[in-house]
Amino acid sequence: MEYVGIVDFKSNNSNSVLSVVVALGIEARLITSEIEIFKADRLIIPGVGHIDSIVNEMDELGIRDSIISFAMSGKYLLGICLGQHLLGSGSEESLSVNTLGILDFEVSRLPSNIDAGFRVPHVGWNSIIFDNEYALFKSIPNGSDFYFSHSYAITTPTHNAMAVTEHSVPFTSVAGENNVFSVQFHPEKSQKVGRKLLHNFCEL
Amino acid sequence: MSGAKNFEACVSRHYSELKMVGALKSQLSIFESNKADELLVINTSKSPGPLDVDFIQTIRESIEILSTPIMVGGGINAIDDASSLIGVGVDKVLCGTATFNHSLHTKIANLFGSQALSVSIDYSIGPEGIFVGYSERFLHNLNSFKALIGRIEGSGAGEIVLNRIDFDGTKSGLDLETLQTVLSIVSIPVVLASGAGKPEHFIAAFEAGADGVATGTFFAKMDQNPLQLRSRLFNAGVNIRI
Repeated sequence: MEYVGIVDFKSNNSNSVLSVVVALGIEARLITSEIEIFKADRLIIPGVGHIDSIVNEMDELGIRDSIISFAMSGKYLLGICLGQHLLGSGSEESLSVNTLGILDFEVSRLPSNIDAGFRVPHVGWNSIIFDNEYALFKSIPNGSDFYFSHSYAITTPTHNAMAVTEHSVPFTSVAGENNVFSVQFHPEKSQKVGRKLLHNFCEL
Repeated sequence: MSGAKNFEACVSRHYSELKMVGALKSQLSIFESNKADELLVINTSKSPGPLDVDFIQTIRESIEILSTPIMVGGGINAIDDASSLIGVGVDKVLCGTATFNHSLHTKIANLFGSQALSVSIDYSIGPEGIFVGYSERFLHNLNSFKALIGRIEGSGAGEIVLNRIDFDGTKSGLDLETLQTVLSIVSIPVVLASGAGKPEHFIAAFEAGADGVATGTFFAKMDQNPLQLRSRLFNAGVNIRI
């Protein structure tokens, strides 16, 4: 039976992602093991909190290698928020942890600019601007607002940027290459356009 | 056999008069379909001790049918309360200030990130000064109030929600002065609540720098809906999603 595997870290909001995906009529389940990752048709990695917590949990579950193998298999993978940071090459939030390095980008702290009204954490709805008609954004108008809630982001430009957002500085809100995608915002909390993006991901 | 108690949504005046407006889950759904940017639920019936499992279950069941950010508060006094709520999909927990629990805030921020911790400043202003808190009140002057705000940011809060108790439910306008005082002290986002009665109140708050405005009475007891308000704000030049 094909299913979308949603990696269930203790401290993340995997239940929110699961209920939205299931409500779209898609077979999905929360997973924590190597074998479940291997058998998944598609993988979503949600994440909230701190990069060191999610890395530690991933290693405690012993699923680092299986996530990497999944990415290399060509099957579709989506990282959400901290899940995006996990896929990159490193995060300023904790320079001592080893993130997965599946996508080539660095994560840094978002600077604030109080005078211009940009406070950190960046919490609230903000627009994503994409430079191409990617299948992931099918039927999503360019400039649509999604819900963000973070203090760290991909602020250094990266070649795998698919969409950018501005909050004090421009940052890469969607990064992806081949079969691996990652979003800084929370599609499961972004109402209609968020559900559309998750639907599009599951249709790739 | 289990069943979550049918929690009722209500609006308040001066925090004490509560008026029921409908079942919680359906009220939240209605706001979502009207494009609310975020939902805020405060459990007014919280008694001492850990959070009621029925309440957590109701929140879980609500989140299962929603795809909108949700903040929940009301008697969060221990890390387990915060963990339970975040575990069922709550995006931010709202902690009160009466007795400022620095160590709880720090634990929550360290475990879940600052963006998961909002701190509510419940206050009223009188000739004697600024009373902070609701069930227990502490008198401050402007300087000690400012120092408290600074310490709250320092404890790891990712957002401050200003609730002026004596404006709550009055529809006479929001406390822009205290908003500006707090904005000048902290670098984190500030949400203003209590007292909105006209679209102009919202516009003024956003123009004064509020990152968000929270309201209950405006929609529940008046012939207003979020979609209409959003259009009004957008037309007035507020940077709002429509």
